[in-house]
Amino acid sequence: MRRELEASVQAAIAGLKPKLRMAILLKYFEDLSYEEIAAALSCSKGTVASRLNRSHQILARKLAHLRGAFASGE
Amino acid sequence: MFTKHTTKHLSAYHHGELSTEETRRVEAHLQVCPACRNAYEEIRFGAQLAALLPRAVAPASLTVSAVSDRRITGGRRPPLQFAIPVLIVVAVSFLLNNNLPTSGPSWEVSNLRGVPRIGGTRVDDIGRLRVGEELRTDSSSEARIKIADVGQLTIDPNTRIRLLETRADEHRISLERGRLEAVTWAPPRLFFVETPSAVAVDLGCAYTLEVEDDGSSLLHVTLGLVAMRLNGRESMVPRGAFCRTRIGAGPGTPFFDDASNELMSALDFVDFGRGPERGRQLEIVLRESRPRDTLSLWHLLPRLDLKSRALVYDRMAKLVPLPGGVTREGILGLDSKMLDLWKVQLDEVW
Repeated sequence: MRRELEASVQAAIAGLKPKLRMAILLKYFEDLSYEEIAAALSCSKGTVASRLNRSHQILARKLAHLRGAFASGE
Repeated sequence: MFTKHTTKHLSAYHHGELSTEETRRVEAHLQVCPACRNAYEEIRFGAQLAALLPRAVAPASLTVSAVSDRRITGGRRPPLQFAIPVLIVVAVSFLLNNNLPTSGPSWEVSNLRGVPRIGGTRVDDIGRLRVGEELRTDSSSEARIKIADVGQLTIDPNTRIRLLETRADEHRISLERGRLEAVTWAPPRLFFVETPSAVAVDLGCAYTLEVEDDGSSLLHVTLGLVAMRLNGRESMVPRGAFCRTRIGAGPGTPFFDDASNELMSALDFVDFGRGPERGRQLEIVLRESRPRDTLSLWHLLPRLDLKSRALVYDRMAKLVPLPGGVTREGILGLDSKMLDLWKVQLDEVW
């Protein structure tokens, strides 16, 4: 079940636009702070926050049908 | 108090990136604004999903291609002073054009300077590199290549690459000589670079790879994780680490770019040297190792005889204590469950 969940998340992230996808990867794959992400992407912390906000919203809406499975698996 | 809605601050709030005063304001606003509370629930769910992102790890046996979750620590590392052809680590850059489904089996090539060539054809501005074709740069030319819609390559002077495969589930090139920088945003194991001495398996996101005339290569990972493999031998190279490869030997032991010069030099001999000197060089590696250098020691464990493995284990145990359920005998016997348990702890140090 968890593998399917991870696969769904991975597919959803792969479907993000490149700038949003990179912000997600740097935050969750690299565990960088907003300041470090901003330096890596040559943008402001506000832009990083905005991109992560948008990415989280997209993921939540795309995978809304998994809320039940997510809650029971945690 | 925020009288305006706080939606744009919610991810930063969730990640603890706001100042104390900003945090207080967001929390006060969430108490009185149902719309923002709903937005926060959505953001928080999205963040929880993203936190499930499968992260690639070094498998316990280090000879199996399957990977499991791993947490890669971030942070900047100082540049390396190293007695090899100098690598210029280029900052990460992005593919700006989002309209990119590949049309046919070819990649777009842009001229950065000079005259790169595809086969015998000049690339004066934009060209297409098709499967089976070779791109060459001379001493005064550079090129940029779009890896379908999953990344890009910057090709240095005096470099030869060939496009081997490009399809939705695999993109593969060979780097026959020279240097490239790769930045990808693909899921792991979608992009491969074959060199004469090993294959680089991209696990996301950015690295440089240089191949010498003798077929040896040097990988430096600047973001994410890359696996170097040949004939069942695999090295997992995280951000801030290097890995050398040699013809016939495959990938060497990864090492962090802030390791001591003595450790790097000794490790090179342990990886590719022979004879009694190898044992003496291993002692130098162990003596020079810091807790972070257990990345290197970890990779050495399955590659040494039992006597040397015991020396490596004893040094590792002093640098990073064993978790419960892990024994010396188990690690020396390369018990995969115990290796996995210890690896979780080691990941925090790397």
